[in-house]
Amino acid sequence: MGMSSDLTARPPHRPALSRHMLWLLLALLGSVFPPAGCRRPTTSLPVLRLYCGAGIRPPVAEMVKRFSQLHNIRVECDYAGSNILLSRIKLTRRGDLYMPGDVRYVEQARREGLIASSVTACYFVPVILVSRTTRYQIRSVADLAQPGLRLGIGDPEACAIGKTAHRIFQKSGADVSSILSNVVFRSLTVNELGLQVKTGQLDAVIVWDAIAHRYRDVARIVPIPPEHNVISTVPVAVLRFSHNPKLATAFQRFVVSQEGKRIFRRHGYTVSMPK
Amino acid sequence: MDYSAQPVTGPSGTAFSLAVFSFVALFVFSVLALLIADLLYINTSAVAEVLRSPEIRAATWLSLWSSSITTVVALVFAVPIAYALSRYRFPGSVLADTIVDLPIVFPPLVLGLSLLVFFRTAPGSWIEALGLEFVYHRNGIVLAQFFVAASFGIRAIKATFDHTDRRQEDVALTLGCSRWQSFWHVAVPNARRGIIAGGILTWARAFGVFGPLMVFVGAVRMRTEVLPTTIYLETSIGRIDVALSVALLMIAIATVALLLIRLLGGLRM
Repeated sequence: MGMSSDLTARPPHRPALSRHMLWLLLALLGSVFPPAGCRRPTTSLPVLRLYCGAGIRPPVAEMVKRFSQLHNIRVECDYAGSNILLSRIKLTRRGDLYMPGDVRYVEQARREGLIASSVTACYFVPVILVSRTTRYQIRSVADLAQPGLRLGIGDPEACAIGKTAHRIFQKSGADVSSILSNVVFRSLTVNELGLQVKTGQLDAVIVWDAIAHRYRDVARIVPIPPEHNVISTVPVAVLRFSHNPKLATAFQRFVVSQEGKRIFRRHGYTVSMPK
Repeated sequence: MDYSAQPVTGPSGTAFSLAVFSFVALFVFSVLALLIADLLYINTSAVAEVLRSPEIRAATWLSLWSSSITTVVALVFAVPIAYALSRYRFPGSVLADTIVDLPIVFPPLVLGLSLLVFFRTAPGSWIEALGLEFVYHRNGIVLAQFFVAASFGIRAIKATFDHTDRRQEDVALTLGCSRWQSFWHVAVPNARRGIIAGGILTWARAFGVFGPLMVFVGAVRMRTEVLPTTIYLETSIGRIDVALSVALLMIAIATVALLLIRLLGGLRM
């Protein structure tokens, strides 16, 4: 190719893109050397992977921190909905511990041969959370049938507390249809219910005790007698394919130890079956 | 300069521009109303917690880092793909064009599950055995974001190649350019705006990806937590004020980043 054709073959526009390529390269460099906050710990401590239901994060995060210090290990605590965690455990067959929001997930996993051992960590005890500003006298489930009372429960299709509330109404021997006609709000998760009582939008809601605990300063907690209540169990299970079953079992024991129980109680969880 | 791209300066007082601008106003105000509602809901203690939390700071960096690297990788793929789909007709080109769009309609959870299932298969575990880990790993964030976001980039860039004049490339060829040269010095600079727009779309989409990540890499704080994950983690324990503060932080970062890309790209504001 002659020199003249080289000149005439010059493109009609300057390749302005090179400037952008430079920026992209800079971005790439920045990403290969991410800021200190992102860098992985360089020491290779033993690692436990714990799959934890996202709703019980506060006490579990505290336990994980304490346990990691005690044993000088790293616990990767992976939070999601209990059902998503179960799918992941099935598909990857990795990890050491599973702590879902309800024991039935562990039972399902056990049927598929994924569980080595399981113990009860704590209980989810439904209570009635009553607004401080309500004009109704609410001392029991039956009192929720009073005409005109504004009641909130979880949507039975969307969250566990919704299904549980229905079963409690039936067990209590109260006038179920009157209670249900008072339901003016059905939430998708248990979390929205406490807020509605706090703001005075609702007279009462049915929530777990640990949720009610967060609103104890702004609302009144009415317990439900155990014989009428439907209590859920939160387990902590060691997975069959754990690479470090000894350490995983140690964590399991820590969760049910006096220290573990103290942490649960501080976050408003019930650690012994109510009698 | 291309005449069609020149704006009419300011609305003139016709019924037509009034009608058009009332739609602009309605949309802009609706978006602002949502933001203002969020702003009214949050409180200073939630904002202070977001700004102080080392977990959220790490998630912010990881979000910026992963979506930027995703954008670079996606553009490396998108520019040649868009060019090929725009300039060539080959057996199965219609099919390829359709498959490029598929990730857009994939439900987020399905993409996450599909990635998990893939890495169980022989080729998948072979890739991981080579030391390139994806499952439960940060690399997996980029991979999931890539699948979700690249299609948007390809679409935007292909539309630009479709509308740029291919005669200029042919002229460059007759003047002695090789195919590579005409692509690199003519086609790509001509499609510059489209490539930047595609980059913006890809980055923005990658920055907001959540569903597949929840399934594919999980939510381990300080390791695989990006800002959308933070929002999920906070809402799942009822801390809606903190979640909304993180959401507003995301929106602020995205606004600054998008303006920056536009400025660097020399696009009109």
